[in-house]
Amino acid sequence: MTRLAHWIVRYRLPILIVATLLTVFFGYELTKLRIDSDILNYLPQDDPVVRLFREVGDRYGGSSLAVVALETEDVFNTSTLARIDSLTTRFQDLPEISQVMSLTDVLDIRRIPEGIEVGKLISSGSIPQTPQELAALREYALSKEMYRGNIVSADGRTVLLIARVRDGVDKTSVATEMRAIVEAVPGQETVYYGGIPFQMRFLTDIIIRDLARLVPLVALLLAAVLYFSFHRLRGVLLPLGTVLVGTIWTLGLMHWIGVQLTIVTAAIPVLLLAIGSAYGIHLLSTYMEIEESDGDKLDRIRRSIAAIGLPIILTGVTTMVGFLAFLFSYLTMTREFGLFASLGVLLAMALSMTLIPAVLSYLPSRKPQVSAKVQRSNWVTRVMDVTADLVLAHERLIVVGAILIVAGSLVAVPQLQREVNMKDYFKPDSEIRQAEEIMEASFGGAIPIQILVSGDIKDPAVLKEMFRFEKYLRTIPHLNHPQSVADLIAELNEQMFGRRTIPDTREGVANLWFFVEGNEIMDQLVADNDTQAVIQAKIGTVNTAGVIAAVDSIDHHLATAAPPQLLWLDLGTLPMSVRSEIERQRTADVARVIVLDAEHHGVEGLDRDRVLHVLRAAGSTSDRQLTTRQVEAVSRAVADYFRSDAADLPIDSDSLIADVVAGLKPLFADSLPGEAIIGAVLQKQVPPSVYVDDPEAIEYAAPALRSIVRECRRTAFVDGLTDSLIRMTLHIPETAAQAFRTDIRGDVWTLVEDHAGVPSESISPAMLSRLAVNDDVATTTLQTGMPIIFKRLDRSVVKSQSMSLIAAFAVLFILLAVRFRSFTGGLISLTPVVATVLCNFIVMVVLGIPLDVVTVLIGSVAVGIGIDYTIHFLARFQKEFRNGTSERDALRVTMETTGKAIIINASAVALGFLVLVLGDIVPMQRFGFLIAVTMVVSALAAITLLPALVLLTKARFIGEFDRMAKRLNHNLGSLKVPTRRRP
Amino acid sequence: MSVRSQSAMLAVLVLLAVTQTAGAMAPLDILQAVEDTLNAPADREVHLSMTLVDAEGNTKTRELTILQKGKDKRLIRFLSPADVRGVGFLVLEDDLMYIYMPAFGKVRRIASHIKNENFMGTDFTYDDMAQTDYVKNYTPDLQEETDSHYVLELMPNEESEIDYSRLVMCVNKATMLPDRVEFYDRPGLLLKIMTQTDVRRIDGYLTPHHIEMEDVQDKHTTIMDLENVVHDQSIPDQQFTQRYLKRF
Repeated sequence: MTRLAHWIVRYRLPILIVATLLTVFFGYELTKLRIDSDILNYLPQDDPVVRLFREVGDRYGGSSLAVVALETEDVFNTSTLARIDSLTTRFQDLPEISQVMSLTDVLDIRRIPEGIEVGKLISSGSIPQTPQELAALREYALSKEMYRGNIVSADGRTVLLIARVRDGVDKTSVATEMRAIVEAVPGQETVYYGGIPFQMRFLTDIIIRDLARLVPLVALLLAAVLYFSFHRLRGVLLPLGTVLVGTIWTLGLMHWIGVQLTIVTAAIPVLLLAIGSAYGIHLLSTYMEIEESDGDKLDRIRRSIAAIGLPIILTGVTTMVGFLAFLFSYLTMTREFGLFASLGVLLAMALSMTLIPAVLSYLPSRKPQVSAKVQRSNWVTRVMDVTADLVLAHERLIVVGAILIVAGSLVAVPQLQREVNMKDYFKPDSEIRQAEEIMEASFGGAIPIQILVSGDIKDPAVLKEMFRFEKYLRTIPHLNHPQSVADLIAELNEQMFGRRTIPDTREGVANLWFFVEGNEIMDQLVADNDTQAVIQAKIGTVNTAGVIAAVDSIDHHLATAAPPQLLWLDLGTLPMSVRSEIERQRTADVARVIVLDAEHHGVEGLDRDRVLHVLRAAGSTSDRQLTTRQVEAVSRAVADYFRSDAADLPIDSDSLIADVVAGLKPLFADSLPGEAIIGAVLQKQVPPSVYVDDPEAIEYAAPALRSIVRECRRTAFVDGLTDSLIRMTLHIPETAAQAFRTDIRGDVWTLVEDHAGVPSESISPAMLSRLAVNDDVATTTLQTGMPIIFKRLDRSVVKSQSMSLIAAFAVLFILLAVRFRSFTGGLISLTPVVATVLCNFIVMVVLGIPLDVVTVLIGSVAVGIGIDYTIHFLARFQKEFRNGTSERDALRVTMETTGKAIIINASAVALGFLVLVLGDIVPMQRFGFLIAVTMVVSALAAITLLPALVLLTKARFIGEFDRMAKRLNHNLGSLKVPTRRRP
Repeated sequence: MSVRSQSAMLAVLVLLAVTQTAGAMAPLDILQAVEDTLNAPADREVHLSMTLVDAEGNTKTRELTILQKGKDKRLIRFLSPADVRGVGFLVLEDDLMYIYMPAFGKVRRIASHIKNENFMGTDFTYDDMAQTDYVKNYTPDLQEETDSHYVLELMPNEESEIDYSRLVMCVNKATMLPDRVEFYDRPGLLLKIMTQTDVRRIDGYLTPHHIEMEDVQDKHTTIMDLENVVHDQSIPDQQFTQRYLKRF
């Protein structure tokens, strides 16, 4: 240490020059430091979960949504719609945005007389103008589940413009651009901004604002503390200047090696100011003590360094260990924090020992007036003395208290909440939280979740599986608005043929698919030449626990419910025994889905057993005799056919139609007639003059009529069954009645289809070979999306916490055991910080503060800083114990000197961190508050629990307890103290 | 060669002659000439393959036949891929449109105001597929004339329901067919480019056999290669009815 001291003094000029140059360089680098608020970048990029998330985002036009909400009395007015239209178009012009969905640009599938319209809800450039048109649009848009609660709130007061932001672009700048566009298109609506890109924008802003406000405040506070301690300008400027230089170097270096500031590393400046000044203070106060003695100035400087150098290094290194423990963390940003915080401590420490002496050597030396310090601190000394006596008197009680804390933490730790949702970073009254609340309340959240489906997406089996899965998703709490290509196909089927289900043949699917082929929405739903699809859904985030529960439900369902391999079979080709078994299974599946639909719509009274009973009792269409009314319905359909333009055998004469229908009626009342017999009836009833110029007419008409009859029979069956099910319900919410009927009608329709899927493993190999099936459908499903990332973050927060604490404890134990040359010494000195950390967890549980990406740091920071108190206290106590005569004297002296210093230092550091409470970033507020509490607890533990443990265990590394003739000093006889047995 | 096609050809030749002698044609006359060239045959049956190329270079190929009679009778029938074989579109005057879906055995009407939507995953809108009423829908302006081409700028007429802000049409003087058409969207940005090449004379009518429509914004291209073109077969009107739409 003496050699180091000599070296520092000899090279003081080069030290000054180099330090100045480096400060200028890193100061310049610092100005270019940017903030990275992208939560995805905080995660290791080689994690498969992260990679999948990015891949899916890339393939489906981006995985983050930037949402603009417009709120007004009633959004269905011309000026609001015009504003939406204008914003939609302008957003679409941004290259970073892959697609925008809004009322003026959204797919609409609508029934028209005898046909269908697949287009936009509001065609571009034709915004409704009249009150009637607007009212019609309002009624229509609010009636469809595709829009209601998805892009327009059910009350019609709020609309969303949802922009899908491409992956790999600067999301904060997209948010800025979008905001500028909104401001350039004025209107009377209240505007809210939500979704990850806007959250990132706000986060970046408040990080900058917090830094600009809080760092000067902490510096000012530190300056005040320093002035009251030293009463000299140099006492303020030297430690403060040193730690500022250290901070500039650390942040400058960050940019220089290409690291951006994150929400976690943004804490580094305040952190360094609060804890990094201690080294300078120690050196300066030592120098000032020595300054009063005689000798050459440079020599006094050398002596100061030699005296205080080692303690400074030891406390610095232990603090660094606390931070370096974060290198074991999963999160990149936490690792960066650990690295740069410890680097900052190293720099603050090194600069204190080099730069301060170098500057001091050029400052005039002076003898300070004898201060009144000793007198002024008398009351503090008295308090410390009383504390010492209390510890002596109640050492057992203190240890028992500590044990109670440990016990309490055992109860508390499992109850620790965790929060990794970005929303939680903002104060409840902030703009972004309000926006998120609107999203949650009216639109089911703004966080997308995706379920990736690989397989032949155009295969009906795959689509049916997706459709069924979505019905399950709709029942998961907080999970809203699942959407996939299966929905579109089912919706087309509903609007075109009146059944909200997936057609059971590949051709049926393909025919409907044609209508949405090439539509821009398909880019978000299907990829890779229709071999991959996603189910997009949104999560209404109440809290991380809710998100994780949803994610786990999905995973559980994916793992258990979806068969990996299906056979898609034409039931007509199967032997009766196999067929009826498959139909039994299908009926059970349909019952399950109906119950899901009931759950989704809030319909009561339909449990699975009852539904299954009704379905089973209904039998099948083929053995069903039609009622008179149903026969009439078929007759009307047949008559309509002959009159229509599409009729293969057009008949003008009503009486002839009546005759033909009368001839056909006996055929279709009991069962489905064959083409041949229909053809024969037509031959007989229709005079050849009708089809003289079209000789093939009857050939075409027979199968057409058969399919009309078949359709009618199926419709009658499905409607009858749907009615029975609806009669069984106890309660149907009024608003859901229509949608519920449509949904379960689609479910029931499955029962009359010719094809069904069967899990491959449920068919015996022998049967399989007889079936000669070649339609073997394999699908895999995977879950991805922001919620998974949240889950990953959540798990990593827990892992980070335990790993970093274990690492810190382990390294510190070794350091301390070596320092005190005792195993017990290592254990005892670690105990106060362990108790402090556990106490911190109890405080968090009691106050309901969750573990998040920032509060997870507290444990290790507390250990790193708190261990210094232990070291100082034990070192002094050891010294006093060895020199002194009684335990009490040793403890009193230690308390009056080191104990006091610890309390003052802890208060100063706590005060510094409390400044963070004034900031706008919620985790930072919590961090500041908890560190402050922790500092106080840690200091108290160092001066109470630590000596209590030492005295109770009579740990030998402190000294020879036997040597002490009397434990108690004479003037303490009045205190009630338990007598101690000597070993 | 039928009388009609002969007279149509004559008309083209006369127009060509006018072009060469008069030197500068009025823009409206050029557009009229283009339209006349396109609509010259009484009817036309085309067998073609259509390739869709997306931004990643994935391709999908379809085969179809188009039956056209006059300006306002058209029947489009898909032949492949297998799962859409037989799907037919019938487009009649007054924007009446029907689709036949063989998987359901049913004909359904399609709303008329989707003509600005893309046709079944292609880069052609329903309206682009018709692309014959230029004079009625647009007002032309001659932007440039080179030795080989007229460059027309077409601005949509107010009463037309055209969704483009303008077209830039490059008319080949030799064929009076557009070699290239640029479509600009409402905000005025280039949206699509259509190029027509491999012009062959079939039954006396000039017919481009390779047509590409590139959506430059979505980076998606539709390529049509005409394989078999027959003109003036006197296709009966009956072919363009819902009843025959179903027969495949």
